Parts: sequence; structure tokens; C-alpha cells
Amino acid sequence: MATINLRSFPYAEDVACPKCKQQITLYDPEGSEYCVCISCSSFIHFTNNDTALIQKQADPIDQQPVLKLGSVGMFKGYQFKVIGYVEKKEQGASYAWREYILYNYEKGYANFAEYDGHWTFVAGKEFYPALGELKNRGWTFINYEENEYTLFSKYTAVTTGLIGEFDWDILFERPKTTEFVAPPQILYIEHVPNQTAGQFYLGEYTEPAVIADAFKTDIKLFPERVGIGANQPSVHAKRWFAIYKLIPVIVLLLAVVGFGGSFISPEYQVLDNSRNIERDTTKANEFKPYITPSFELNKQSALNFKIQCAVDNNWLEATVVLVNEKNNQSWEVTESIEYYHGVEGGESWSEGSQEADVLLSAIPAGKYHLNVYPAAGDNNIKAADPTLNIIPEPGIPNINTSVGDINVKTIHINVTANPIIWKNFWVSLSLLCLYPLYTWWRMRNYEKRRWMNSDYSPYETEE
Amino acid sequence: MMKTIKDARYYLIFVLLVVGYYAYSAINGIAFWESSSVTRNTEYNNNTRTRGVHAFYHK
Repeated sequence: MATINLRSFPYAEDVACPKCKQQITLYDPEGSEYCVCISCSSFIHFTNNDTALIQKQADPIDQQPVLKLGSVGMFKGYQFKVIGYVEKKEQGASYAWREYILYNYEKGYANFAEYDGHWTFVAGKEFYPALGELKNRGWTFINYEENEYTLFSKYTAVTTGLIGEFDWDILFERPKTTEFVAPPQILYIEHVPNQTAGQFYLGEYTEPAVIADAFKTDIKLFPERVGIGANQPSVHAKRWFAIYKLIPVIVLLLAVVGFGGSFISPEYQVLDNSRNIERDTTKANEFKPYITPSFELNKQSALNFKIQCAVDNNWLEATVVLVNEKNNQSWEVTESIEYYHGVEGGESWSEGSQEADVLLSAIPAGKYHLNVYPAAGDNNIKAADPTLNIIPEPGIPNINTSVGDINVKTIHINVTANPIIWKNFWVSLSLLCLYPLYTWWRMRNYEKRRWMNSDYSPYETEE
Repeated sequence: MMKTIKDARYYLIFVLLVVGYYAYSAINGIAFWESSSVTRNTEYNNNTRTRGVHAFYHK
């Protein structure tokens, strides 16, 4: 077992390799039971009486470690010394990663795991005592300290090369490992065959720059990051989880502001005018224009016009001009009202409406009236021969089954100031939802890419 | 809560701008979209602005 509960690192000792006599530096000479000769790659076991025996032959490492053996760094409040470097791969697959064994004189071992340039600080219950409470029950989810960890992968780890010293027989150890992720954390359950209980380890994604700074190493030596790490935190998720909680508050705020605006500038009716209109016999389809009574606006307001006419199988078009009586400034609106109905093939149908709404924005305070110029369809529409079977085109009245009204009689115009403008509310809400939607979409894409490396992806795989 | 606000600070500034303009519009009768068929006249009381192309009828 690693030497722990000390106040500083133990003194290093040199031992000679029993095979090649190369001097090997041990940084925890009391605690390390195994080491690898950097010259001949012998895997040496120190027996109880400190006799060094060559137990196995280790394969040489493929890559030079970024953190040198013996280098010391302060990380997460602990002094760590790098005492081992292990290259591993997944049994039966090509996935390979590297582990740097870190020794702390108070707690023992932890490590940095590096895969495709993604670094994770991994430690067991010595550093995270709550891990000791967890049990391996084959879950697909694990709840640990307010986070839900989701099953990401299962594999058997194989050691392919190593240097340094260790307090256990790591060379031919093949732990069955299960990973659960809750970025930036990751939980590992390692089950070594012939051992009863799995061991839990907690990993936390670590930026290479932080490690380089802690161990005074040149960041340029660190491998380039490839793809998305299993527990790499997503900046999009961070933004989304910050924003989505605010959405109900924002909707409420908009509603309060809207009602507050209605309270400060309440809706009120400025004109309610009904007029019997007369045909202008000199012009086809036109009626005599007329002028409504004047009305006053006390302050700048939006105006809502509701124009109603009881057209029946006919249309009416009204050009309504809002005129400021002081300076003749005007706003002209032309609205059509169409309403058709009938029976076709035994089924009744109708289309159009007998009213139209018009919204005017920011009409200045002042005295106004309306000039109205109505026009309507032919008042001599007659019933067609019912024996004809003419199929009506869209927008054309079905003269086979319908008869136009003979006289359009009355136009009713109702004008309200400061109407509640729901469009403003919905437009504002849509604008405010754009960024959260974008963030959610980016987060989802990021997560889909992360889970492409997993056999347990909750996202549908694309062919 | 402070962390949430910090992470969403740029969005919150945008929210304040939108809600602020929404409140200003609600009080001053500004519709983000008025009816598309509305045309304002181009000349009144010797004002020679050139918006709009239609003929107008005046009292």
C-alpha cells in the first residue's frame, strides 16, 4: 500500500534492476511494491524482505509521458508527485488511453487519465469518502451527490505499457470497467476478477492548461484534443441550464409589463359609427363617400378599427382615411370584406367574414375624423339556372347555388384607442425564445456528438 | 442564483432591452406590425416628405 498520512513526500531511494543493474528511483520506497525498469522494462516485485524479483517482462511504452516521473504539482489542494505512467487499451478494440499515477503523501493514489487530448482527474474514496457509500447494482443511472450519472460505456482495460512504481500488480490486471457520465464528472466502477465488490472512482474533466500550470510543464507538449470527451463539459449546456430557468420569469415579466401598460394607457372607444350607405349610380360598384363624426385622441395611441358589414354572398371594399383635422396628416387603409356561402353536393359551405380589423400604430394626439369610400359587388346578382353544374373556382362565388344580396345597407366602424396588442407580446416572446432555442439546439448537437462514442446513446443513431 | 445570472448575463441584457422596448411600446401605442395596407400621406401642411405613393382624400 502507498505510504499515507505523512506530512511531506518520503525521501526517494534508488534501487538496482536485478536484470540490467540500471538504477531505478523510487519516490515512495516504503509503499511501492512494484516498479518497472526504464532500461530493460522488467516488471519488478519487491517482496516482504525488500528483495527485488523480476516478475514479468513489461512492454515498452509507445509515447513519452507529458508529465515526467518525479514532477510535483499542487492540484485540488493536494501536493501530487507523478510516480507512474501507464498505457492502456480496451480489450478487443483499438481505443487506447494513458494514465499518470499521482501520489499524495496524505491520501495515496490518484491519476490523470488522458484520451485523445481530454484529461480527467480520477480519484477514489480516499479523496471522495462518499464513494464508499455507493454499491454496484448494475444500474444504467447512478445518483451521486445531486448529479445523475448515465451509463456511457463498459469495457475491459488492458495494460499495454508502463513505467514507474505502483503499489499493486498492475501489469496483467484486467479490470472490467463501467463508466457513468455527468459532465464534467465521470464515475468509474472497476471490478477486478476474483474480487467481490467493484471499486468506485470519481473523475473530473480537467483543462490541459490547468495541469500544465500545476506541474510546470510546457502546454505545447500536451496532445491536441480530438472530438468530444466523454465527460467534457458543454458550454452550450452551461448556457442552456442558466437560461431555461429564467424563461418562466421572463414570460411572467412580459405579462406584467403588458398589463402594466394597459393600466397606464387603458383601452377606450373613440368612435362607434353606423352608416346607411347609398349607391353612387354614376359609377359601377361604388357608393357615395361619407365622413364620420370627429373624435379626439388625448395622447399618442395605437388605434384598432373594426369594420363590419352584413354582406351576403357579396363583397365590400372600404377605403378608410384617418385624417388629422389640424394638419391634414392622414392614414389610408383599404380593407375588403367578403362573405360567401351556399350548398354544394348536399353540404353547406361558407368562406370569408363580415368584418375586418385594422391596426394603426403610434397615432399622434389630436382631433380626427374618418373619410370612408365604400365599394361593393354587383347588386344585381341573380340566381343561376339550378340545372347547370358549374364548379366554382376559389374566391369566386358559386352562382349555381347562391344569390348575392341585393343591397348592402350599413357599414359599422368601431375605433378603439390603446388596444391590447397581442402581436407585440408574441413578437417579444418569440424574440426572447430565439436564443434559448438556439442554445438548446447547440447543446443537443454537442451531446449527440459526445454520445456517438457510446454504445448506450440515448439519441437515435443516424444511418 | 448569482451563478445563473452570471452565466446568462448577455442574454439578460438582451431580455432587458426587449422588455424595455415592449413596455415603451405598450405605453406609447406602438404596434410592432401595423396592418400592411396602411399608407401614410406624403404631403400635409407643406410637409414634403416622400413616403407613400398613393393618392389621398382629404376633408
